[in-house]
Formats: sequence, structure tokens, C-alpha cells
Amino acid sequence: MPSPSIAPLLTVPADRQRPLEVDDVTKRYVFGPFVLRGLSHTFAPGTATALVGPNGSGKSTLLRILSALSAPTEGRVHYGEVDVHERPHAFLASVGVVHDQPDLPGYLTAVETLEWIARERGAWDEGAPERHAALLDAVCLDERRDALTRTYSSGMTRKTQIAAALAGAPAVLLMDEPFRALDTEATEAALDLVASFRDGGGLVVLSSHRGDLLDRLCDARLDLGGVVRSHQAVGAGAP
Amino acid sequence: MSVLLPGSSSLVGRWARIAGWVGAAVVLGALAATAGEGLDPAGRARLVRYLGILIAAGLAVGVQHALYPSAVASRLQLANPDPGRLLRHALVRWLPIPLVLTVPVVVIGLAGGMPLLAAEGALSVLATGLYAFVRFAPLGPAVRAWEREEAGGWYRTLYTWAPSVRYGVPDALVPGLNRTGAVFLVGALSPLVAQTLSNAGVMVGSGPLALVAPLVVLAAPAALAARLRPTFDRAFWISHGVWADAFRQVERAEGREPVRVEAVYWAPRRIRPAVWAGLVSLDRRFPLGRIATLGLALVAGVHLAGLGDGIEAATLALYVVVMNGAVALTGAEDLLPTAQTWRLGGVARWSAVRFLMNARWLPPLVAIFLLLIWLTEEVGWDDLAVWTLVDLGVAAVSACFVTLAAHLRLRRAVA
Repeated sequence: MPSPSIAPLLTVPADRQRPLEVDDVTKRYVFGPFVLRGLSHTFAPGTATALVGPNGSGKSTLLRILSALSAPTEGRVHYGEVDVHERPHAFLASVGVVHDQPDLPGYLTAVETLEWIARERGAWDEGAPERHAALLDAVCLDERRDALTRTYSSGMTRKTQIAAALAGAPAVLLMDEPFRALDTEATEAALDLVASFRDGGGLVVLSSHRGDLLDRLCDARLDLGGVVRSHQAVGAGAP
Repeated sequence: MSVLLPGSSSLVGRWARIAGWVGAAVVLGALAATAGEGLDPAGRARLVRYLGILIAAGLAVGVQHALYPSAVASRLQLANPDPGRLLRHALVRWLPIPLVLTVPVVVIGLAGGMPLLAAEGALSVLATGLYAFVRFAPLGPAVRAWEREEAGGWYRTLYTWAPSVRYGVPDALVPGLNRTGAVFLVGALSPLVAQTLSNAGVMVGSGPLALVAPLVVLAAPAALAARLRPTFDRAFWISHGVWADAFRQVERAEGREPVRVEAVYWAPRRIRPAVWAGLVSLDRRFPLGRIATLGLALVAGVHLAGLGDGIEAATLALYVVVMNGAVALTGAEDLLPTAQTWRLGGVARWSAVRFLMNARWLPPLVAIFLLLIWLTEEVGWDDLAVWTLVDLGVAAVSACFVTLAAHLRLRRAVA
């Protein structure tokens, strides 16, 4: 179980717990085919939802749409009352993202990266250094946390990404293949951390090809299917 | 940028970037000085005007590629800066380009003892740069609205009645095309507006008073930029998404047949696969063939228009620098990852590879010289020999420099 000192990062106050609603979203690239068509789904606070489907089914596209990195061709995404793509700054203030591609400030250490994020997001106080140390312990980054992140292995980078996503005290966690490159111990630690966040009222949406881990962590699955079709017909179900 | 995204680059990297901008300014300044040599005041004014039009075209086409998709989007998500800081970030990323492009205009003006011309020209370029930013930084929401058919009804109605007026691109790309045209138009007209206003200023007063008028040209887009601030987060993130999606899709779509390895028969057998891989990657990253065609047309046009030896030399030098300098793109890790390439050979091998990649642009240059030798009497075989040597020299220097930089970066990373 994660240390009690990081409880503030893993507990979402009731007034910040809001659903993330995908309303009739279609995504089609300008020159290309439909990637998503008519997808409607509500992600509830306090749940972890796995996006499943074969390669190319739109998992990463949906995560990009949910994290405001890409806008839907049709339809809307709301976080409570906030239209995600109309007011991205307001939405992103509540979001932590783990991207599939590693993108950390290479000339900062992991410790400095968390400090930077916490300061940017107004989550920095006297207790922050201790919280961040505990957070890095929780993801098992104990060996080179004071080295520049550009020197990290892929596993260490992934651990730092997970810690960075949580350092801003988010209410929503969006994760694309968060367990890739993690060793067994770090995978268990990451599962514990994300489960604690979910149990603390956090909303988690993640994609992973590790079905065994999704079964352990997720309350629901959103099957995006293998071909473009009406996603309303596919829907969500228990794992 | 460094305040908003600390740790983005090392001290060396920051200084290298600054040195790059300064180097570009020096090269452009030197080219401008050569081009302006021997010109009378009227000739200099004309040259500044032509240069303004050329720069406007470059800014109109280049602004979207410089701004989006953001290379640091993931880190910006982590920091989640407010709209004002996001606007500052985007401006800091864009403004060095128009700033550096003011250098040739300033050099031409000052070298001719015409400070007012220099100021007018520089302000016009800055105004065009700022206007390009104002039109393209918030383009994403417009593209999205056209894509969703919430805007652009007039255009759809128009081509329903007259199908021939429809552009050969998806409707969602029309706002971008229209804005490219608008930026070019404003850029081409702004030197005239600045000059007219300053002439009016000279009639009213004199000296510094005349400079007040061209500042108006700059103030207008500055005011427009300030208006972007309250909702710039929406503009930035949607625009980033539009371009990221477009590039992702373009990368998927195999628009053109790549060069076949057999077509690189002119490269020595041992490095042929490397030259081939480099060419395919570079051409997919940036279609240099179009730039080469435009550049050679410009070279021929400048000569046939008889604009003077200085301008001709500057145009040729610009062509050689741009075509050979583009190999710097292969220093990027996503194009030719050094961690992979160094296993296949050291600095000497990859310098040779990059040199040959550059050398492919020599035959078209030679061809245009042969054409000019045939058509006119002013161009001779000695010109052909000199520019062949210059081209090969720049090709070699840029190839070695890019390779050495990439290998040093790798050695520092793994040290």
C-alpha cells in the first residue's frame, strides 16, 4: 500500500469528483477514414475503465481526445459542466496524463520534475518534498531520482511519468500503456498506486495490452472493437 | 520558453540555439549586403519591397509549421499554463523567425545610409510576422468549425452553384488556404502602407516623427494578438490537435512513391543503403524537391530580370545554403537516430552519407547554369565552375557539422 503521506495526491475531494462524458463522438482524420464513430460513454469518478481493442481500434485516439490533445470531428466531451475542448485550461487543471511516448524535461531530475509540476499547478507547499519523495518511492524509483531524466532507462522514465501525472493532485488520470517497460515489482507498485487513486474518488481511463493487469485494476471495459462501427452498440461492460 | 518549460535543454543547447539564430542573422545580413552592393537609393527601396514580398510569402507558408503541432505538448499538459502564458510561449517560439528576417532589410537600408527605409522595412516584416501569428495561432477552432459544418456555409453554397470554384482539398483546409492568402497580401502591401504613412509623416514633420507612422502598421496586429489572450488555451490546444492529426494522417498516407534503393546507383555500394534510408526519411520529413524547383526558378528569374550581380550572387548563395543546410534535419533523433546509426559507422561514414545526400542537388544547379550559358552571354563556364565548387564545399561542411553534432550529442548522453 502507498505511504499515507501521499494520501492528499490520491484522494479527490467530493466537490472535485465529476463524470467525464463522451457524447456522440466521431473522429475522422482530414484525409482518412473514421477512427471513432458515434461513441457515447460516461466515465464515473471512483472508477477505472480500460479501453480495449486490437491495434488501430482507436484507443490512443480516444485518449488524445479525452486529454484535449485532439478535438473530435463531431460530438462533445464534458467534464462536469466544462466542455473539454472549449475550456482546455480549466479541464487540464484536473488531469494527470501518462503518454505512451516518453516526454519529460530531459535536463531536470525526477525530483525537480515533480517540483516543477507541483509549483505550476499550485500544488506546492511545505509538505510537497516529502510527498514527492514518497511518491517516487511508491513507483519504485529509488535508484537514480537525482539524475537527469534524459539518462533514464525506459522503465525509469515510465515510473517518473506516472509520478509526474499524480504530482499535480489530479482528479482524472488518463494513461496510455502505463505498464509498458515496468518490471514486476514496479508494475505491482503502479497498480497499487492507481488503485488507491481510484478508491480515493479518482477517475481513471487507461489502455493497455496487459489484460491480466486490467482485470485486476479496472471496474469496467470499453471495447472499441476491431473495425469502425457504431460504438454505442459495443458499450461498456464488467471485466 | 525556458521559464515555462525548465529542463527542456542544457546550457550548451540553449547557447547552440542562440548561436543558430545569430548565425542565420549573419548569413542573411551578408547575403543582403552582397545583394545591395552598387544599388542607388531607388534600387535599394525596390529591393526592400521585393524582399518584403518574398518574406511575406515565406511567413505565410511557414507560420503554421513553426507553431503546430507543438513539440512540447505533453510537457505543456503537465504544466497546464494559463492562456496568457500559453500565448507568450507560442509568441516566443514564433517571433525569432520574423525578427531574424528583419536583418537583411535593415542591412540593405543602413548600408545605403537610409535608416528610414531600414526602419520601415523592419517594421513591415515584424508586422507581417505578427499578423501571420494572429491569423494562424487560433486557426484550429476555425478548421474544426468548417469540419463540423458549423462554418463555411457560404463556400459550400458557392461550390454547389459553381463546382469549379471549389479548391482541390477537403473543406476543412480552406480556412488555412484563405489565411495564407491574407497573410501574403498583408505582407506584400505593408511596405507600401508603411512607406506611404512615413511619407505623410515627413510632410507633417521630419526625422523621428516620420517613424511614428510605420509603427501604426505594427500596432494593429499587436492589438489583435492581445485580443487572443483570454481564450488562447482553446485556440492553442485545438490547433495543436488539428495539426497533429493532419501530420499523423499524412505520415500514414503514402502520398508519393519513395525513392528505390536501385535509384541510388551513384552512391558507393558500401554506403548506398545508408544514403537511400537517409533520402527516403528526409524526403518524407520535408519535400525538398519543391523548394529546389522554386529556388532554381528564382535563380533563373533573377538573372533574366537583370537585377544585378549582387542580387544574383545572394540568390545563388541562399539556394546553396538552404538546399545543403536541410541535411541538418537528419540530425534529429526521430529521423536518423544516432544510437542506431553509430553502430553502422562513425563520423567519417555518416559525413560521407550526408555529403552524398546533399550532392544530389548539384545536377539541377549545373543544369540551370547550362541553360543560362546557352540562353545568355553573361553567364560563363567559370561561373559554373565556381558555383559547383561552392556547392560541393557547403555540402561537405554541412554534412560534417551535422554528423559531428549528432555524434557528440550521443556521446554526451551515454557518458
